[in-house]
Amino acid sequence: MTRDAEMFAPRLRATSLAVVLWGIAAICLITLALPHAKDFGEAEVLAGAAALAALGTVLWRFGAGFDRRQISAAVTVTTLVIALLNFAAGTTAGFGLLFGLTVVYAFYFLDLRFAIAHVGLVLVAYVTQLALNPGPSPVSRTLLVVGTPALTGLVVARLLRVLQGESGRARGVLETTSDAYAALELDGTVVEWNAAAERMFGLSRAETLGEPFGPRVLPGEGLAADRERLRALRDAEEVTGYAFETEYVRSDGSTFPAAVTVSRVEGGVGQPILACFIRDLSDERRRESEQAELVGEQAARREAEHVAEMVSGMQLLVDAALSHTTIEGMMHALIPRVRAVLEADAASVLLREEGEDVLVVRASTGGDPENRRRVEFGEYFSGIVAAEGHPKLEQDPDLEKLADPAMREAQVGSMMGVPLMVSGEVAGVLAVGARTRRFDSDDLGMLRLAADRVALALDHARIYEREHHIAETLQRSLLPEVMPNLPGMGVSARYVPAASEAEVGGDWFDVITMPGGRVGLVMGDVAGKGLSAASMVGSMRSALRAYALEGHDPAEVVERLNRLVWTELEESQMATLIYLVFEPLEGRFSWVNAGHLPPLRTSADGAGPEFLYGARSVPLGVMPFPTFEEGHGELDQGSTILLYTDGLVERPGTVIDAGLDALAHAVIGGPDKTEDLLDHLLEELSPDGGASDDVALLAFCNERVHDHFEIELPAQPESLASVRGLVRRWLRHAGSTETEIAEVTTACGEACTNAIEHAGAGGSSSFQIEGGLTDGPGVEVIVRDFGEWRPGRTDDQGRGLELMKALMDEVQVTPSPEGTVVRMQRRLDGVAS
Amino acid sequence: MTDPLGNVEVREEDGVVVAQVAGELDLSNSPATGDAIEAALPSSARSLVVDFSRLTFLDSSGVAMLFRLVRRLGDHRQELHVVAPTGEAVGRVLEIVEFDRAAPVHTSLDAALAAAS
Repeated sequence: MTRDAEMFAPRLRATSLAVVLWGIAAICLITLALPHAKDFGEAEVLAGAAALAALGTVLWRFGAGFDRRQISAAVTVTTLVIALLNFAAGTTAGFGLLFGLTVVYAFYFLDLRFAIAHVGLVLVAYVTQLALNPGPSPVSRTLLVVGTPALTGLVVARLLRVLQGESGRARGVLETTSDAYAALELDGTVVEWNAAAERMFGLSRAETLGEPFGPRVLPGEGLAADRERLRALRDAEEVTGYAFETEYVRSDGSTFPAAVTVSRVEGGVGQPILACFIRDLSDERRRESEQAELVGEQAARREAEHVAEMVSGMQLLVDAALSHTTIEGMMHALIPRVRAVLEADAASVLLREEGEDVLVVRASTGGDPENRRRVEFGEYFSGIVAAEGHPKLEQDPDLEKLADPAMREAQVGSMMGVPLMVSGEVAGVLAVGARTRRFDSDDLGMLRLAADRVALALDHARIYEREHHIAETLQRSLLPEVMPNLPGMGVSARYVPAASEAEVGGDWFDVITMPGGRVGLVMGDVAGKGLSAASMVGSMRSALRAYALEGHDPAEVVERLNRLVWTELEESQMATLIYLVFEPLEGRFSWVNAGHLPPLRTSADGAGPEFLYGARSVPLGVMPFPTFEEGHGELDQGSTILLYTDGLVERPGTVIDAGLDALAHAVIGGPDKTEDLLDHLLEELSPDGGASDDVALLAFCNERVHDHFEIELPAQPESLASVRGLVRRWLRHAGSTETEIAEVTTACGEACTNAIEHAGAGGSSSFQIEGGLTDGPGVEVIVRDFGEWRPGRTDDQGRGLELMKALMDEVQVTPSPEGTVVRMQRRLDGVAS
Repeated sequence: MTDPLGNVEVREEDGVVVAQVAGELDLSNSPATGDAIEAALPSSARSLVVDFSRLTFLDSSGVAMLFRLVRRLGDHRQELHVVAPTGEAVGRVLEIVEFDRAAPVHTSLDAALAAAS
């Protein structure tokens, strides 16, 4: 029962009730104005009318926001006020009508049980009042006592019929339908909500009844359209309904497509309602799309079968193309396959020059592929395809105008071209031609397919090449560009990036020339790859150089470096390092090995190479204050020391000892010169297909010193340090004392300084220095330049000559138009004759 | 790739500006070393001590640098003192060119500081 009445009663129309109350108040006033009985309680009726009018005004003003309970309270108050009016007036005249209205409104607005109780209450009050006030005639009294309940009963019966007939029967039908049914008031308030709707929307009746429909179930755009439809249904007589499809939101936030019919239903009790039938289209849509897929699949399968042979050929072609990491390799692999698959007689790939509207022939069946011929956009067939940016098929082309050399050579009678699109831009053109065969649209489709894949491969290859280039550039910028010129010492290095990696590795090395002719050798490996490893290498390199040039011992340098690494390197990262300082005059070195692989030292006297396992400490960045053990060793003349990173000796699946053995073996049979040695080692030890890890290698040889030397050096001030290193070693070899070494070296430096300054004047780029032992015993040094001698032109040069003369026994300067020769001799007291 | 052969460190000791030059001085770095010392010398300083105790090589370009310093300092009525231990290569070069005729050469830093302040 309750459910039935709810059809009319969920949200009570406070405004209508207000109008009714005002009406009752007006009737009271009219009653007072008309002739009436003396015992009529005029003041009370007036007060009652005022109360009803006030209540009506309150409902009118605020009633829109009242909930059901508040409206019920208002109705009850109204009824009580009317009942009190009856008592107060002591008359029944005119009140039958009021009762009728009250009863109607009680049914209209409230649920049935409440309405019946309500009416019963009023009847009891009325009958009591009639009994207490035997004013009216027996006829009218009887009429009222019998007539009012009869009238009430009629209204109730009529209402129940309306409710059961219009709602109950309809509900039975509505509950069984799989479509959702919702009845709305004209403002969109839900007044009916069937079980299917509960399932469909995931919203129960209790949650929806009395609530506005749209905002609960419609997303933003649908809601606006819904409001528009509601307005039309409410305001426009001619609009009686809608059928539309929309998307609803379930209570869990998911959406579903739905077909909706809305119609305005007139009649019944009260205002027209909007009957909405909603069908969930999810399943239908799914079926439709499955159907479409099925159809599409069938079509695709037919298409696939149709071109199966060609596709498989094309697949091979594209796979071949993709397996090439360089663009050049890819293009050359592509051309023969394109020809074979399309049965073409000529094929060309042209790639666009970056930033220009020009194509360059990169691979072609005809002509000279090495001749990277340029084709302007709009010129020839391929240029036209590039300019238009669309595939093009041309039968019986004008060869003179359209065909490039490859096509002209093949005398093609049918040609087609497809632009290679990379990131929406024309990156090149793939063009083919056939002599007798006529290409058709299927062939053009195949060429397009190939072009798409080639464009993709091209894009990949370009990205790869660019990244690899950046990585290598960065890596190389962190490594010494050229090895320093160290006469008497052989120093060579190699850096081989991993074959497959675009990223920068953390391998690095350095060679530092230090005051006094000492040489610092560095080989390091920062764990990790990419920019962070590279930037760490950069920091370590400049820090190590700074510490080294401050003159610290290797252990002190590495200790300072560890402090930097400890603070800068990310946690759980570390860096290994060997820092070795070679003292050429003594042939000795001091070194520290912070967790790096052992250096390999070759011996000059025929003994095999040996790994130097000493001077081991923990890697950098592991502990804040570790002790770095400093080792000392000798590097005899003719011996080489080899530093390397793990990429040279580590192989997947083998122990590192095997790699070290292989290295030692490779060195035994290898050449002496450091440059040749490194090439030999890389060739011997690189796995097929390139190294999987970066490899850095540094070889340093303490070359033998001979009694006689002769060398040509660049005429630059930087060569002076090299000269001093060379001369010192040679003088030590000759058995000179420390003083003799210092003095002869200074004199040689002066001679070379002059040579360098002359070169500046004469435009020559080098000078020569030659040394030999003389009987006496003694030494002779000859410095030759190819510039112009300017004796004593400045004080400085004068002092240079003055120094030479003071430090050597004999100095001979022989200027000539071709250059100057300085010959100096000195007797050596330290040499036993 | 060139590494600096020497380095210069300028500090003030007992109110005297001391430029300690370590390493080696030749044509490749003498002019720059001279410029660095000049740039670091306040114009208010009365004297400058160039300390060669830790210098292992000096040639005529380094001597030229010293002579230039003497001239520049003379323009500002400032004095130059040089420290170079006798018997070593650097001292020998200064002896040969008779640098002590242009500015005093001391055998230790203490002696130079005593003379300069």
